[in-house]
Amino acid sequence: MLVVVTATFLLVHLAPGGPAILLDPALDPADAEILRTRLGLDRPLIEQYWRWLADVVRLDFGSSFTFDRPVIGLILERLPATMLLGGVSLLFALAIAFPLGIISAKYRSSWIDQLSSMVTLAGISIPNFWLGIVLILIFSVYLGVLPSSGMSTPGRPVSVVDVAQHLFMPALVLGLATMASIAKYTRSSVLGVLKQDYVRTARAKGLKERLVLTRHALKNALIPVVTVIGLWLPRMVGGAVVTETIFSWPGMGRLAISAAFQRDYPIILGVTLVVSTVVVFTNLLVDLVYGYLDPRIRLD
Amino acid sequence: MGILIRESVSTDIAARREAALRKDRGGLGEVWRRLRKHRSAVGGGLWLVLVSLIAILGPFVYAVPHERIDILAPLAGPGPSHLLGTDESGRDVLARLIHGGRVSLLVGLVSALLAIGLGTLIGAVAGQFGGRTDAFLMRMTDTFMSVPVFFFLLMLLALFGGGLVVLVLGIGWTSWMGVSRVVRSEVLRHRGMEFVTAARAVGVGDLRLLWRHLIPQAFPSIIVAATLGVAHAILAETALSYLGIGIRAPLPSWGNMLSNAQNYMWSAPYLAIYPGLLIMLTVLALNIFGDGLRDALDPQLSNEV
Repeated sequence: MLVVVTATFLLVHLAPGGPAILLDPALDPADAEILRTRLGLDRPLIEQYWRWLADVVRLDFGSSFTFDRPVIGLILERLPATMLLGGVSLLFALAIAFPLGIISAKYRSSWIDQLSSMVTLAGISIPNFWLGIVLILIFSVYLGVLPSSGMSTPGRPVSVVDVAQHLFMPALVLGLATMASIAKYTRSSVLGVLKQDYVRTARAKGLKERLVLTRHALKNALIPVVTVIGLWLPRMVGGAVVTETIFSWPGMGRLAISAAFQRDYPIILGVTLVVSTVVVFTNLLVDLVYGYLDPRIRLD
Repeated sequence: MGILIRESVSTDIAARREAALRKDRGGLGEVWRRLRKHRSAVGGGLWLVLVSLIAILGPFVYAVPHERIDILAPLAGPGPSHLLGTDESGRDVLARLIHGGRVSLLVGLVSALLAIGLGTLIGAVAGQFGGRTDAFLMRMTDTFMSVPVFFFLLMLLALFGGGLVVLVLGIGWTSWMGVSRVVRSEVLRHRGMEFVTAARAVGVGDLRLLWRHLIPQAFPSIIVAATLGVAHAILAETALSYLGIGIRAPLPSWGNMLSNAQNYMWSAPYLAIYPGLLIMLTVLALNIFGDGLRDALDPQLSNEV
């Protein structure tokens, strides 16, 4: 993680141009110099790095160049929105993917299996940003039933229903590819397990098909799926940036990309650090869950 | 006597040729036959051929320049001078779709090739040399897989500015991991086989063994991975271009054609429909074709899963 953070620090400072506010042609060169000193940009790079690292340990990410506010506050303001979006998307993806994958494995080659393979193929192939645009076109422009941007209606008290209405399309956009991929994987995993000897044994001793599936097959089939979920989390981070941009969702993704355009170093570094931390911890969590589900690979 | 011998030799040659032909049918010919039976894969393949032809030949047939601005007719509907209408600055939509297709397909193809090359190299070296090299390379692969690479790519492009070459390098550099795993497992699978021992026995070195004997064994998997890789690369390019950090104006791409379309959804929804539809159909075709190819190359696998 230190490697990622250090690499980001170096890359950010190596990027050509420097902070956008210093490039403003209307800025007096003398003022620019004062600003540079105040932001600490006149120091040698290695000193800037140590200072920044020492601050980060105390959870102080410095102040944003453009907002002139502590970065930690900006991030904490937007973190819940991103977490809400990501969490709901993932739940939505899992809630559909598991049943879809299991049912299409159980009734293999039936119409429902073919339908589900069509859905998963489409889910992997539709570009998420275009899906967002088309959904806005249908639900906001033509039908006018769902809001096209933001997290809640301005000027109205924030209510669960209101937020849910705003959340529906972004969560669908962010979750679809994950859903499709996990459904596909669940199906093949369940199919693989249903061929195992112990499933045949369970059938042979006269267990009902339902019980064979729920008691014996599913538990083993879903274990590898956990890894796939772990692999999709980092991808969802990138997807979140796209989704937040389409729907003007007030989250960290939009903060990150506008900061990158503005070359607002502290924000870029702060967001990258938070994102890396979250991803590292979810990876750890996935590993732990995996160990819990499958004692054979439990870490000692 | 002489005639008899010659006759038997010629029948021998004929028999051998027939055997060779039969063997060939069991190889490439058989794959082709199975692929043709896969109806959706054929459809996908035809779509890919069609789109490529339009991208290559389109500008010669439909000679409207994609960057020309028709200032009198912004957001015009379809008509004789602009077959699919114009966008918000009066540029011809069809011409932009054709040129955007060139850009998007080319970026997708080249970055996928880069990813394939990189992945094959890393996977092959890891599989062949094993030990610490393998451990290091696979640890690296795992790290790349568990890190939000697309997010980093996005930040990097926003910071350093895009450009065609940087974009291709960036996408290639962030999508080789799947290939390297596949190639490694193929190399490991074949490394203990007799033909490898035989090659070693006649003094074939490590690198030559890898290049001439082991990597070719992985070709079927690599081709399938390449097909799916192009689909992935097209999605990545269009998403980045949509955000304004991939392909930038005046060069059109199916992705950046969509970035402004959102502002004109009320007046000109078709601007948002065409490019996205093309991306989706092309990616869909690549995915279907890749799946079909996998089934055709390895029927046993498709029966199992």
